[in-house]
Amino acid sequence: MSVDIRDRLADLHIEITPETATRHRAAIKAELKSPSPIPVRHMRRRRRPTLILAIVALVVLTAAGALAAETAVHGEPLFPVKQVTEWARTWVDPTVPADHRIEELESLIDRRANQDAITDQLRRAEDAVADVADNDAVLVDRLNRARDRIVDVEVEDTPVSDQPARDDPPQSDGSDRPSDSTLPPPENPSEGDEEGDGDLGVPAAIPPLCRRAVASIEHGETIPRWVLRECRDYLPRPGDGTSDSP
Amino acid sequence: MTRARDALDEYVDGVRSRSEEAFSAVYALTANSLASYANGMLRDRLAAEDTVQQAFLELARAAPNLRGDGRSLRAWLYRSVRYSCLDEIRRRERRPEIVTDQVPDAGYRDEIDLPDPALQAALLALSERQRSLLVLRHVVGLSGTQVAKAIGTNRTAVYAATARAERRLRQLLEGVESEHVATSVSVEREVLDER
Repeated sequence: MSVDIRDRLADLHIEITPETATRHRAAIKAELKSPSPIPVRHMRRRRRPTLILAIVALVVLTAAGALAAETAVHGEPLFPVKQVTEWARTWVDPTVPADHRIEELESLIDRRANQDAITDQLRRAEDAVADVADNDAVLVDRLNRARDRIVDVEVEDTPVSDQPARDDPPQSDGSDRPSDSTLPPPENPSEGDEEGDGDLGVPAAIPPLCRRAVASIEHGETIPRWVLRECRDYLPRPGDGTSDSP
Repeated sequence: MTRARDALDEYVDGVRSRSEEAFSAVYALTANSLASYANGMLRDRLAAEDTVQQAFLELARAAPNLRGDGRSLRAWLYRSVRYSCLDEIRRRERRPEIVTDQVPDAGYRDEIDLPDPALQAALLALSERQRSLLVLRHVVGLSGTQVAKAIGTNRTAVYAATARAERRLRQLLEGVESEHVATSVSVEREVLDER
């Protein structure tokens, strides 16, 4: 049956009549006498510079975008670009993300950025450093220096009258101020400074960072270990009656 | 292992330089096969011949950019005819069918002269791709590799798809022929009744 169909299909072969063939040849001859529409060499000359320019433009734009994104910090429009280049560079150097997070933290400190932003960035930097195998000593050192700078900046930003006497015993009235973050910023620092105790329920003589740490502990929130270390003189001790938090 | 030479190999350079002799030789070697392919696709001899002329005119324009050897040139021509056929099929689908009592002039459609009308009707019921495969393989007589190159696929796919197309054509052909027999019987009965 299959062979039958193939034979029948083979019979459908047709042949062009001599008259038609003559007509076709004449038409082809006329077409060949007319000039070729686009000579191949001209076409190549036109195409090549365009292609090269497009490739160069693409490379330049990509490089410029990546370069501009290098200084971007979390939340900025170019930050996703930075993450992409960072992801690529991580294959070569796994410390790149931690390095970038610390750079961003330093950048935020230099800019005297919002305390919440700095605290969030510090957490990201801590996580990134923790992700690096063998806990790279250089990165840990840089992170610790950044932490010190956060404290220094806090102290610098505090008016002279509010400078703490580190030996002062911590005092807390145990007020129940709600807090949104681990280290909540004061809603109105100047008010707290004038009234001594302030809204946070701790003496105004204590550095702002430690005041927030005290308030956080009172609300049962966890605070970073480096803050505990910095503020150990001001934090309530268990059983001293100043706070009901552990 | 050396590849078998294609008859068109020796004319490729001439075609690139738009030599009239080379075009004439290529036409002589391929025109009938191209026309058979187009005829199998369109079931219209005049339109089929037009597509062959169209393919050679396009080749004359594109000749300086032509790449490859004789096989590539052959595949180029079949592709050109195929695209022309697809355009024609689409044009026909868009064109509204006009119902008329008038009998078309002789030569308007050469269907009357076409061999094996039942087979051609069944071919038309296949998809364009299946029709292309069967016509190129069994009407034109191209090899699996040549068919693959002409329709832009690989040889294995050509063999599998051709087998499927043959099965489908066989089914359609059985339907068309039984219908044809039934129609012939009813016409004979009507004639007898009139007598």
